[in-house]
Parts: sequence; structure tokens; C-alpha cells
Amino acid sequence: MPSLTASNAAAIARARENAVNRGSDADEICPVCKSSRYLNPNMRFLVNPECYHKMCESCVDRLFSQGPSQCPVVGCDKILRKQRFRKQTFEDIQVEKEVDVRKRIAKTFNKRQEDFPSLKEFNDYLEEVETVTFNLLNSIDISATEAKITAFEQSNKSSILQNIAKNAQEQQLAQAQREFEREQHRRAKEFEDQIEAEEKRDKAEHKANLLKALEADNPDAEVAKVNKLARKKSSMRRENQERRQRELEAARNAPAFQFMANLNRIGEETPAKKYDPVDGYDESNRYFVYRDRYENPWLEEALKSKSMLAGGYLVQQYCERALFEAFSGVGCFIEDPTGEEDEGLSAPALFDTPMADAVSF
Amino acid sequence: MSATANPSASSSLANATAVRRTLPFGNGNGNNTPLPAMMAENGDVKPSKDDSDASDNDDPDDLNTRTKKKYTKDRKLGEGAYAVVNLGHRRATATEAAVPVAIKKIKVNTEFRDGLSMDAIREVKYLRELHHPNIIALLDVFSSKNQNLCLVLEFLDSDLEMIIKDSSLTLSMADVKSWMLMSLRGLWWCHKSFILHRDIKPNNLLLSASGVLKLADFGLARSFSDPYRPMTSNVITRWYRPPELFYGAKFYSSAVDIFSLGLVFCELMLRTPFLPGNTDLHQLELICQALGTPTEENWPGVTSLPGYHEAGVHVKERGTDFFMNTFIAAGESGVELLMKMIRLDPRRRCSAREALNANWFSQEPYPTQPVNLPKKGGGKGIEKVGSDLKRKAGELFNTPDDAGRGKKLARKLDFGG
Repeated sequence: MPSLTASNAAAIARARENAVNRGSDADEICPVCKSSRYLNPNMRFLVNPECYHKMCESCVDRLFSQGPSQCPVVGCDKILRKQRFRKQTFEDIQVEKEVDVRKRIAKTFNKRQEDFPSLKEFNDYLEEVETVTFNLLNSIDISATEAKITAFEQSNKSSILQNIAKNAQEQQLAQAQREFEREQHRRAKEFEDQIEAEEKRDKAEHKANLLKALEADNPDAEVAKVNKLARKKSSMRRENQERRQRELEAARNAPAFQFMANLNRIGEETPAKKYDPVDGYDESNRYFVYRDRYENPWLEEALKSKSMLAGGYLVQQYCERALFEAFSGVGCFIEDPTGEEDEGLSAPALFDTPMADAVSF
Repeated sequence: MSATANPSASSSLANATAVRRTLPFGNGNGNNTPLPAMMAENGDVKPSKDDSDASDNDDPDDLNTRTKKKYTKDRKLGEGAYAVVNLGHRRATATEAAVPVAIKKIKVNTEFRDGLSMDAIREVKYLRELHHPNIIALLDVFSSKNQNLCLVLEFLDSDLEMIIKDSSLTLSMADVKSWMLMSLRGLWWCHKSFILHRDIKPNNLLLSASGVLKLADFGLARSFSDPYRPMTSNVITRWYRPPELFYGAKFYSSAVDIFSLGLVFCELMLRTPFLPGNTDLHQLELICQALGTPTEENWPGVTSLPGYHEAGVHVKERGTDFFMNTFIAAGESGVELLMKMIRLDPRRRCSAREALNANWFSQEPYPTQPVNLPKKGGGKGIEKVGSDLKRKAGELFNTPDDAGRGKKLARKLDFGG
């Protein structure tokens, strides 16, 4: 009867697996089609995060293959899509729902403690997040809560995006750190293995040398020589090992600092000083001031010409340039080479030739 | 064209160092120097004023040899139809350590039979004058044995296009803000010095090893035009060209650069070009769709532009809502700045100085410090910038088949004025 016992064992294993699959109660039935696991041992239950009503896979296929449609559970008017159906992760549907809600909330409400001036404000914020979560979970004031979430999202757009980026970066760094540590472990292990192998090889060599020495004419002298050689070798090896150990140690420590530095990189972008649009350049004119308009019959046509106006030509820019160039030699002395160093940098530039006429195009 | 036609032009240009007395153009009207401490930190180098071997001899040939001797060539980064770019370094002197530089050797007689190419002239002309931490530094100019012009430029190892295209990098709004701030400062300095850049795009915004952004490629730059003197409207790479240039405007102003930079701003957020047109017409259509169709109401006088034509699409000029939806990450003040930069009517666009005053820069998140900005390291970066430096201004790509297309497309730059 050995074959029977084998099939028996297989059946028991399958049953056990099924029991694991379906959780505790063995004779589950689909609330929609009422088919039970007894009839269909491969039955899988799916839920949709819209309403969390459980139904079997064949029901989902049957009802939603033709496109979105209403939930078959009596009294539920949610429109469900096949794509959103998934396997239940937690046995308790309430837990399943809470995990989903928290996931969604965490995406929007992702402020961190450092975003708040004080712990009190951070705690208030956390409490509010909890209230929103609770409301969503227990269907209290759904529309008001949703409005609240949207309002928060609108007003914190940039900080939400920023915190998402921050989180991603931190995860990346943590990942890099883990990989780095793994690599370090691997290297340390390799190093130890190598030491062991070296020791083994040296020992074997020493033994062979010893035997050879004993075969010689004057064993004592030869043995002493071999022993001395071995001692020398082992001390050299130890020195070598210590040096490499130190190197490894250094390698392990140095990049760790880098990781720390990188971690600190985010959020340190505070302005060292007040924002200066021109980065410290002095824009004042020492010798003249610009006026809005200059009377010049030659310019009248340019100020009126439609095609010049539409192209964006600015007569003002021409006037500024003309003035600037007219005064650009003032305060600059050719005979005074030191003046160029002290005065020249703060004095208007000197031109050998007016730029407009140097090359004509 | 008188200067280019003159055969001695190259040698006189090559010795631009001889006119040391010409102070930096922009340093006029009582400015401070570009903060010395910051310059040192960025690894910037200024042409040293007291060369140890500088003799009293002002002979141009002598000066040229002396300048040439200051630099060595290390290796070639790339070669194009217009120039060869070498990585080199300035020899270490008693007081200063060796500094890496990019040496751009302009090929003579490739395009312009009787002189230097216009790009080279413009590059030298304007970079000699502009000194600002956010503009690439032209350190020296010298001529090689066979009269080729060599520009010694500050070496920068990556550009903004590489950053945008590198999908492994995440760019935070603080990073975008920092890049925008630096490019606006560079552009402000150009405009303050009365120079139009006319080729603002991500791969002309180079990044130094310490993260500082610098405007480069002044091959299409020119000084502000005098009234009644027309300029060509065939400038700026198509994807970044403002609508007035598509309508053939001959009289335009610094607003064209602002528009280009605004589109770079969009690209930094979207990580893909905002308006990638295939042809000029398609590009204009994209502008109309994305920003609105130009009409007499939103852009007075647009119909009188020489190349104006009725657009096929009729979209009302976009308001705040559209930009808020598309560029939500920038926040309200960022969107406000962006809208001011890419207005259809050039007269309603903000100036670089006004843009720098935007609230956005002084709000949280604060601009990232340059050293902390995301970087693209490695050898690939060097090669890419090599190819960028040698590419002709105003062209989009540098691939072989594009080079063929570039040849067929005549460059209609009417320098005659």
C-alpha cells in the first residue's frame, strides 16, 4: 500500500495548504455566487479598495470583464473596475482598509518634524492627520474631510513634492549604505579566508622544509635555519596583515563620513545671507543718470514705427548705451598705470574704438 | 566686413592681449570686480597681469609667441567643420599652478575664403569684453604657425543639456532655481554690456566642475543695434527662437534672449524640450498652440511685421491657469516669472534685471549652492563639450547626418546690414 500512503500524504499537504490559503474557517463560501471551497478548492477571494466587499475570482471575471459595473453586494452602489481588484493581505478587512487609507494619507501629509518650528506644532499636525484618517476609516464627514485633504494638498504643493524627493533620496542613501556594509563584510571575510589559507600554506611548507632538513647531514643546524626562516616569514605575514587590516578599517570609516555628509545635504539650503539679485555688483552710475525719455528728432520715427515697436526694439536701450559710452572714459587715466588697479576697477571702462563702428555688421 | 577682409586681421586680433589697457567693457560705471574670493573658489583664471617673462618689447610677433608659450596642448577633444577643440593647460609658473583650459583652434579658409569666420570674430570681440562669473572666460588669444586663430577658453566639463538628458538625476526645484539664477545673472551682464547673445539654449549653458553655470558660445552675439539699423532675424536655434524672429522682425532687443531662457526654464522642469518644432512653420504653430496665437490685441503691431502671416491655429493667449497646470512644481511665483519671460509681445517680456528681482529667487526652496548641484561626471562629459564647442552656432545637432542637412541649409545671415 505504499502508493496509497503517498497519495494520502499529498492530499493532506494540499488540504493544509488550502487551510493556510483560506485562513481559519474551512468552509468558506463566496458571498456573491455562494460557491464554496468544498466545490471549488482553488477558489481565491479578491477585494476592491472602493468598498472592500469580498468575492471570488470567478465572480470578478464574470461581472467586471465587460468593463466597470456596480458592486453585486446588496445595498452597495459603488462602481468597481476589474483592474483594481486585488488579493487581500490582511485577514481582517478593517485592517486592510486602514492600511490603504494610511498609505494614501501619508502620500499627501508627508511633513516632517523639521518642517515645524516647535514640537507642539508638529504634534498638532500629527493629531490632525490622525483625525483625517479616523474620519475616512469610519466614514465620518467624508466630503468635508476630502475637501480638507485637497485644500492641504493645494497649499503645500511644493513642500509635498520636496519631501517626496527627500524621502526618495534618503531611501537611496540607506540602500547605498546597506550595500556598502555588505561589501565591507564580504571584503573582511575574504581577508580572513586569505589569512587562513596563507597560514595553512606556510605551515605545510614549514613541515616539508623541516622534513628535508632532518634528512640533511647535520640536522640540528638545518632545523634551526628552517625554524628561523619560518619565524621571519610569519612575522612578515603578521605585519602585512596588520597593515591591510588598517587599510580596510580606514576604508570602512571614510565613506561613512561621506554618507553622513550626503544625508546632511538635504535641507541645509538655507540662504547664508539675504538674496542679492546681482551678486554683489554695484549698479550705480557715478557720472550720469538715465532719464525715461530724451528729446531727439532723429529718434521720433523709431518711437513711432509700428514694425520697430512690434519687433520689440527699445529706443531706451539705445539711449542708455549712447550715454554709457559717452561717459565711459571719464575717470580713467592712461598715464597712471596704478590707477588702473586701484581706481580702474571702480571707474568706467575706456574704449579705443566705439564698439558699434569697429566692425560693421 | 572690412575687418575680416583685411589679411592682417588675424594677427592683430591674435594680439588682443597687447591692448591690456582696454578695461573690461562691463566693468564700467563704478562696478566692483567680480568677487575675487568667488573667482578663486570656482577655479576661474584671469589673465595674469604680471607675466614674469614680460619684457618691454611690444612687438606683436613676440607677444604672440609669449602668449603661445604660456599654454600646452594635452589632447584633442573634438573636431568640426569650424574649429578643433583641444584640452590643454596653462603651464605652471612660479606663483600659479597649472590650470586646465580648452583651446579652440579656428580653421581659417574653410567657409570664408578671405578671412576668419564671423563666429570667431564675434566670439573674440565680445568675450574679450565680458567678465563675469557666469560668462565663460576667454583667457587669451594667439595665432598658431599657419595663421590659425586659437582661443584659450576656460575649461568647463559639462553643460545643462547633459544634465537635462541624464535620466538618472533628479532635479529639485532648488536646483532649477539655482541654474536659472546663474544664467539670468550671466544674461543680465551681457545685456548690461549692450550685447545680445542670440543663441541661448541648454547646451550653451556650460557648467564648471564646481557647479557654476556659465554662458558660452558667443558665435551669434552682437551688440545692440542703433535705431534704423536692421539686424538679421535668422538667429537663435529654432526650438528656442521667439515668435518675432519667425515673423522676420529686423528690429528687436534683449527680449529675444529672455524668451529663449524662458524656454530653457520650461525644459529644466519638463526634462524635454518644451517646443521642439521640425520646421520653422511647425515651430510657429507650436508656439501658437502652447502660448497663444499672436493678434493685434495681445501684441500690438504684430501684423505689420515683415514676415507676418495668419496662423492656422487660433488659441487665446494662455493665462495663469494653463501655466499653473503645466508647471505646477515651480509654484505660483515661479510660474509668474516664467509667464513674464515667454510673453508673445516682446515689449511685455521682463528684462533680465527685472527677472532677477522676482520673488521666486528669495523664496523657499532657496537656490542650491553651486557646489551641491547635481553633476554629470566622467570622461563622456569632456567629449560632449568638445563637440559642443566646435559645433557651429545656431545648429541643433552634431551627428553626421545632421551635418549633411546643415550643409544643404544655407545660413542666411545678412551681415551687410
